[in-house]
Amino acid sequence: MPAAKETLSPLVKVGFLDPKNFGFRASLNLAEEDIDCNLQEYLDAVKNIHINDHHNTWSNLGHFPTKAGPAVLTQIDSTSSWGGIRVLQLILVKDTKAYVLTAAASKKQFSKFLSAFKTAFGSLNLSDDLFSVVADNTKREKIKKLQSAYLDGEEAGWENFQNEVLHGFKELGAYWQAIVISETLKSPSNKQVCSQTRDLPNLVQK
Amino acid sequence: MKKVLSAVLASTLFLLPVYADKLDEINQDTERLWKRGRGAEDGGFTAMYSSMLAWGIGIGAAAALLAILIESSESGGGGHNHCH
Repeated sequence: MPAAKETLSPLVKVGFLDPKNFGFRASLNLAEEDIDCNLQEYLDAVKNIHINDHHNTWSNLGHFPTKAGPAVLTQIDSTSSWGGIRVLQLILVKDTKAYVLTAAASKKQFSKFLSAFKTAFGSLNLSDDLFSVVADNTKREKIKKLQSAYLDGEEAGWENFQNEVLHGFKELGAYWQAIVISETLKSPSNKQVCSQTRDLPNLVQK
Repeated sequence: MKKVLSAVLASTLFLLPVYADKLDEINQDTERLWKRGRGAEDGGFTAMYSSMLAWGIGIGAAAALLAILIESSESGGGGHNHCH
């Protein structure tokens, strides 16, 4: 279940919480940071931040392959009033940006979520064309047409486009759906931006 | 002595902008280093505290529900006594 936007720290773009778990709820979030250093310098800075808290132990688990290229997987073990917490952070540095995927769960439940975390980490992908990740050609062409129809100001264009994104592409995840919709709203050729942006906050949180 | 003091003051006036620029540079570097890693810090913070926040809201809702149940059972009990 997507976490409410108000509960996310400033650099966190999207977060998900396990809805069913009783106790410490497992979570996954993605943060982005503009940087002016290389991966090693960034890792050193991250290590210093985490080990500053004496409840934490930090370790570098090495390289991890993602769709966006090799990233580094790190682990933070922490103790809290909830018991032991394990956090995995996948750090990818590309150009002047650091992308940080953070997954957390209680140590007791960690093995239950590990496979889901690994799948999410491996699926990290960066793309200028959001539709390039749609494997099915027919679906990709359909959504592009619906987007063009909306951008051209066609009546009911927004409704059709939004419905298709939300219902036809569930497999690509809530974050992909949210950024496709927000990028479409921001598109320079969008003739209806002002009237539609109000719908976005609700949509992102659904 | 006066001449020496004037010379020192004059040179200070010339050197001040140089030091100010240097200080500004150091300040910017420190700021950059200080902020580096904030993405990972924010990610870790959100992971830890969004779970706790969700729990806090849950506990609050449970406490409110319990208060309503106690309130309604007390008013229900009062009615029963009155009948007897």
